[in-house]
Amino acid sequence: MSSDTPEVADENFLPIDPRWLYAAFYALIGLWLVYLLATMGGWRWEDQVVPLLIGVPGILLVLLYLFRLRYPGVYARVNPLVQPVEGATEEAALDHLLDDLEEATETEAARSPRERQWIEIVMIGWVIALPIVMQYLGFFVALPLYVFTFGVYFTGDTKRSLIITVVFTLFVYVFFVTILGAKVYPGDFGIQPTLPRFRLF
Amino acid sequence: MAQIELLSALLAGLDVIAQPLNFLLLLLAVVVGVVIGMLPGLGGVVILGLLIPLTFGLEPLVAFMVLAAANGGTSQGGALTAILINTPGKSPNAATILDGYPMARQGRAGEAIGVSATASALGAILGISVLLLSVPIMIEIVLLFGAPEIFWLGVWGLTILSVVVKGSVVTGLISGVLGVFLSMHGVNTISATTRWTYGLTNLLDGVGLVPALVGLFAVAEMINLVGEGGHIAKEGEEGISVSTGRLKGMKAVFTHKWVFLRAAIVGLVIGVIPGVGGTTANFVAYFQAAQTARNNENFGKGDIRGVIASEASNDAKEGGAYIPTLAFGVPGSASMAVLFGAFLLHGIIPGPLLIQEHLDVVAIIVLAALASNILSSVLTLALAEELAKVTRIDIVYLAPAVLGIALYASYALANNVFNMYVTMFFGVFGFLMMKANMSRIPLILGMVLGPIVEGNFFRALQISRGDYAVFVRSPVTWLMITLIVVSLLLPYVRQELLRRGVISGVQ
Repeated sequence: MSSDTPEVADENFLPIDPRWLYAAFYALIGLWLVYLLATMGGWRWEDQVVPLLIGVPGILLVLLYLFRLRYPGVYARVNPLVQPVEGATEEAALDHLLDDLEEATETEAARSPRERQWIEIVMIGWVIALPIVMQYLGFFVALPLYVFTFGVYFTGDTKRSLIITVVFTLFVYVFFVTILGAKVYPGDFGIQPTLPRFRLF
Repeated sequence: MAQIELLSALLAGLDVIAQPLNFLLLLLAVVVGVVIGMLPGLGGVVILGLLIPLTFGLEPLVAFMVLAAANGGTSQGGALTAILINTPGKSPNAATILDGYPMARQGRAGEAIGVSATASALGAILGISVLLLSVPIMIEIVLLFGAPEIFWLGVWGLTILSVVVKGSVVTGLISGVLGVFLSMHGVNTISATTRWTYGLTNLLDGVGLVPALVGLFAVAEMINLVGEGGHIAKEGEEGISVSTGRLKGMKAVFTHKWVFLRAAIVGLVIGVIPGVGGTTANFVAYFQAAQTARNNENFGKGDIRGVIASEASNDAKEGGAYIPTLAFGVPGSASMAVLFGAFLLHGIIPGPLLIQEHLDVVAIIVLAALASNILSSVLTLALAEELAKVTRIDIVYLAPAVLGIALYASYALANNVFNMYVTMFFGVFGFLMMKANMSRIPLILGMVLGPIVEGNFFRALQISRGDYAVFVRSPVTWLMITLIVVSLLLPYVRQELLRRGVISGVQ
């Protein structure tokens, strides 16, 4: 499974054959299942039976899928649920499999594949950052800060981002704090001010 | 005699609702329910948990009216976001995504909303009507479902994953296996053994279903949409338009009345069984519609019958879920369990005596649930155009708002910061699942059904004192086993029939 092809490097931000990524994902799942079953040592029978009944077939399914990634032509010939591939060669079957996998998230995107991959990686970073910021700064400090910087980062439009931030924060405050009286996390740093509550009921 | 007392209680309940201030409160509760239902993760459980202390100062009947109304509104709100932005408002709405969102992407959002609102309202009417008429009969049926029967019902739900996930049976099953394993984290309620907490005390209660659901759908979808860029709506220059098609959608429910009836009955029956829950009911109803319908190759790609099935079941099951809750004191769903907190707060002991001693409370809950389902359907039909504008917002502005609400919703569930990290983790993992073409639905189904399967497996063995024959003793268990075998073999049988040209259509 060669990854050193110019086409792959130009099309994607990560210069890796996508099959390696799919294989890594499923392999990690398989390893996790093996880890879970391996750590059952010393447990009572009641705690082991259902995990074993589910886990062993699960690991076999992962191995089956890895086999499919490695030998898609053989897989297509033995599995009646897989559509027959024209040409019936391993190369043709591999192309067919990769097309299926890429179709899963392919849309009329506004971005190129390379740009999209980069944005997705950045987005994962933003998602990871949010709970950390909310935990330490508090909900009503973190939320407007997050919404504003997010908008500015992705659009560059400071004014519009500020308007949306203010409107959204007010909405959340009115709806959650005023109407519902919900508790908000104050933050570990304690910098969030005490929110006035104008209860309607 | 009981029917006369019930009728008197219903008339008294109508009198309460008809008072102007009370009706306004009910309407407000419905609006709150619909809006909350639209927000990922904030379903009936959260809205009830937040409203219970809020309504403590009201008259008990009015308080229960508000709670039931808000709970009833959440399903329609959740269906709206499932259709418009591929994000279920709560887990039972996940089945609506399968065909509702593809319809929206094809420019048929109005039609999907029309059919959803109509199927929901009619399903609710059917569910509540059956609830009122069949209490004596339901008592006998529920008694037939013991631990072995509920165990097989859970296994059936897990096995038919292979039918739902077309084109990738293996990855669907892997996803389901992951879900079941995730459900087994934490303290085993059977043996009190701690399993797979990784040293984290927060995992003693297991991996939260709602935080995981919010992460898998809301967060993962936002990552994907921001990566795509532009707006949520892709089909047509106007984005997802709901200005047309609603009437067509409303009529479609009557065109496919048998699909509606079968799904509503499935939802009602499964909703009656305690602990199985709305997610199972809706997926089972969807699966049976997909399996039994003619020309079903479009299921999962925007077949209106899929939306009819999931939404009819979604609201009919509410009527069913009230049966064990009000009749036996056994919560029919998670939100019903939270409702017990309201009972205790107002000095009412839930249980079999509830119907005898507090028939007025039962009546007001039933009436409020019916009214809220109808009102929420009218609301979404009337305001779908305005609500649909959410899908025209640049995703870059919508995403941080959705992410913020999603994480707050996860936190608000138990005032636990750890839940935010659970949501974050599942958001990233869910996105990776999307990239790897692994469906997220089976994972959620596994998390829902895993405890049901395992718990009832051991409960059955405890009852039978270790005799495994208990799993094949009753006719109901044999029915369930037959359904499991049929579900597993059906894809292969259908493929063989396709190959031989006996039936048409592409799998």
